[in-house]
Amino acid sequence: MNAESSQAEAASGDRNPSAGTPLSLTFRNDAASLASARERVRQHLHADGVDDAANYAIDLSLEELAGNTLRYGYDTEEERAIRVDVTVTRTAVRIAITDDARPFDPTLHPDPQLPRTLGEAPAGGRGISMVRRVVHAMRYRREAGRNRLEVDVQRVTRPH
Amino acid sequence: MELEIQEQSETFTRLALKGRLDTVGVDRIETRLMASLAGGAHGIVDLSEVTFLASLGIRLLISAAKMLDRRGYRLVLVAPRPVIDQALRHSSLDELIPVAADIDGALALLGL
Repeated sequence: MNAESSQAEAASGDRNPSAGTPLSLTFRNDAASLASARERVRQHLHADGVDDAANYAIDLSLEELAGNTLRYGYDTEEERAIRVDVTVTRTAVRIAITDDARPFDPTLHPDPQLPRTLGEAPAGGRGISMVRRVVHAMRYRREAGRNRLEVDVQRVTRPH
Repeated sequence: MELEIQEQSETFTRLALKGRLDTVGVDRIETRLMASLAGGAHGIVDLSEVTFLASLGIRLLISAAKMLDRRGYRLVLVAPRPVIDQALRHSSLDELIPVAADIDGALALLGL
């Protein structure tokens, strides 16, 4: 498998000029490939005129959610493929992350307890709750042995 | 991700971070950041040029603050951009590590 492959598909249906072109990426389950995929998505959304806040929220979602998959989702070091589909409409950006890692539903993952002191604070475990704060919706399903996680982020629209 | 040691004195070490504090960024600076703050002084970390803060970046900052706390010192974060300030609040990090608007504010928080 190549480090990264991509396919941009022609937009169909929505002819509004502020809607974007779909993008599909497949990348390996390692940190460098995820970083390259995130860079591609950031550039794509920027070119589509997506506002910085929505672009940041999508980038954070990929860093945390796909990052969890490649850090914790596989039992072996074997090379696997993670797919990301990006859709831009006039009002929102949606990503769908699909992988064959072990089943994990981040929508059911509880937020961490707030520590009272620095000494009590666990260093990690904040990624999913940070994503929840910046996205509009997350949906998970397991189908055909794969995790599919959809994340919606609202675009900021400016009045004309 | 870049780390610059801007000032080292008997009472504090001042660092500046620049770039994306994500998985790749943390991997690049973690060892150097922890080592540079291990010298027996308070830590001041300038975040003004940090453009992205992920949970692994939060984990690094908490680890550094805990290391200093165990030795009787404190870590202060300085001048985060609005998007980074929001990430600090979303992770409740601002309740564990003080955040100052500028270096003078950081020195005041440290009683220096």
